[in-house]
Amino acid sequence: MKLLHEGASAASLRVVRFGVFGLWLAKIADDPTQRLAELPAWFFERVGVMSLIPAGAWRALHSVAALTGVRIVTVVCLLLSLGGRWRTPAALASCLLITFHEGLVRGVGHVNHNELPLLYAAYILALFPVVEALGRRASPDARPVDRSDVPLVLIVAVFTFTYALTGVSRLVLWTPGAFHPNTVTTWILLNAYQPTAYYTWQLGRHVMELPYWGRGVLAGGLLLVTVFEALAPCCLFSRRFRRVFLLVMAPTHVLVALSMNILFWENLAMFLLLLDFDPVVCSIQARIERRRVR
Amino acid sequence: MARDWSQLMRITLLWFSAYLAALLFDRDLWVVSPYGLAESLCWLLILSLLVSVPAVRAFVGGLPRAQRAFCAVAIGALLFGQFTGIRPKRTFPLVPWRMFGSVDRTLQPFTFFELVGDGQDGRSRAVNPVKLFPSLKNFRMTVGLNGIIERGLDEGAAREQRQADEQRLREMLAAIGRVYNERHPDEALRSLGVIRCHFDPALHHPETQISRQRALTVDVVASAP
Repeated sequence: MKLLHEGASAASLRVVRFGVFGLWLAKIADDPTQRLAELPAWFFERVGVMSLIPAGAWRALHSVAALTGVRIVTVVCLLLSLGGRWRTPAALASCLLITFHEGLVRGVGHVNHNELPLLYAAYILALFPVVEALGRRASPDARPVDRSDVPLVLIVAVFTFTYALTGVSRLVLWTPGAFHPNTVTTWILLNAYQPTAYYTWQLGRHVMELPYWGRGVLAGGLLLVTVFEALAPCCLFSRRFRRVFLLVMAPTHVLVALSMNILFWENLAMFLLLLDFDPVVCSIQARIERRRVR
Repeated sequence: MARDWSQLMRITLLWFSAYLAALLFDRDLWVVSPYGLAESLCWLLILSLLVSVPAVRAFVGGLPRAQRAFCAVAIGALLFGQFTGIRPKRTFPLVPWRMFGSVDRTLQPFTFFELVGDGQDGRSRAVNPVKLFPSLKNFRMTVGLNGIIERGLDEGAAREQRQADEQRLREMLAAIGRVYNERHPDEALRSLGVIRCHFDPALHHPETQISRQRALTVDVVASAP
């Protein structure tokens, strides 16, 4: 029995690197961050590592020009992270800049989780070459071994741990109340009546039309999902569990988006990492090389 | 067998490091509360079970030292974020992973807010702040704005505090209205109001019986002064 992505090729690592930094590039390029400067500065709190930014610099950053500048630099760094000679320093700089972006938007209201697994994936990909270099320096006589699989396994581990942390927390702290039909109904109603950026219809507004047993089924579904969340790290070593996990969690994310307007699209994209894509990547690479030789 | 014990010792050390770091960092000492302790001990059990899986043990055991340390730091950092409790604002980007964790055994009435603009042409227009500031997404914008609105409309607060909160709400609405006018010059607003909406799930058809009441209106200028 092997772990998912154990022994994966360098080509797979390049594909994942391209995917992760490419997603961040698309996000930042599409996001009009500078518009946040139109809101009062007091609306933004410095959360977590953002408190390391001096108050004066924080005030200076709260302007359309500064936020536009940061956005442009971030886009350039992310572009350079995709490949080429400068990819390692560019990836490290990108991580700092996207942490700033994520910290800025989380300074309002609530520190939520949507983009964090993708952020952690970027950290792992950016830091791994540094760790490899440090390891080589520490033991220069050791035979160099290609361990392109390590960051891939670690990303999957961290990704599945985020689910497990959520599931275990719900089971330990809020069982059985969290699985009461009225609890689930309340969450759906509270979220369904909030404005949304995605679409204009909300399934959740009709939850009261369901009979009580129907809402009981929703609560039972939440219990099932919570158990799968808690067991998520099993995706690392069990192919059968991975398949069932995807069959349960992907529709759950879609249902949560339709009923509560909470869309974890980054997680949906990261579900691709739960597929064993290395053979496909290797075969494509081999085909490309064969064509090149001809 | 000795190797198994060594990995178990290492994983316990990793767990303990995260626990200790959280204990030192978190002012609320969540990790020594009964729930915090129970949750963190669950994680010690989960980590021990994981490391007892032969495939995991073989993978971790075969890693070069630097890469093994890197993996340990990544997992330890996640645990640290979780063990620091229920307030993610101090530890970002490491956060406690707690979602859908409240308990409401009875359905209670609740209040939500809508923003409605009065156009230059006299027509009313729904204003969606999330679409004006998409960076913040639904949840962050809603939680942030609702907090400002609730405080701004709270008549129970002390006079000075109430005035300050209402001033902040007015400032916020004026900013939202200004951005709306910049984005929609053909549908420019002259004022923007907060509608307090009351939803009572006990009613027979609550969806059709939401009561709406305009709570506050501010004038909107076309662009920043």
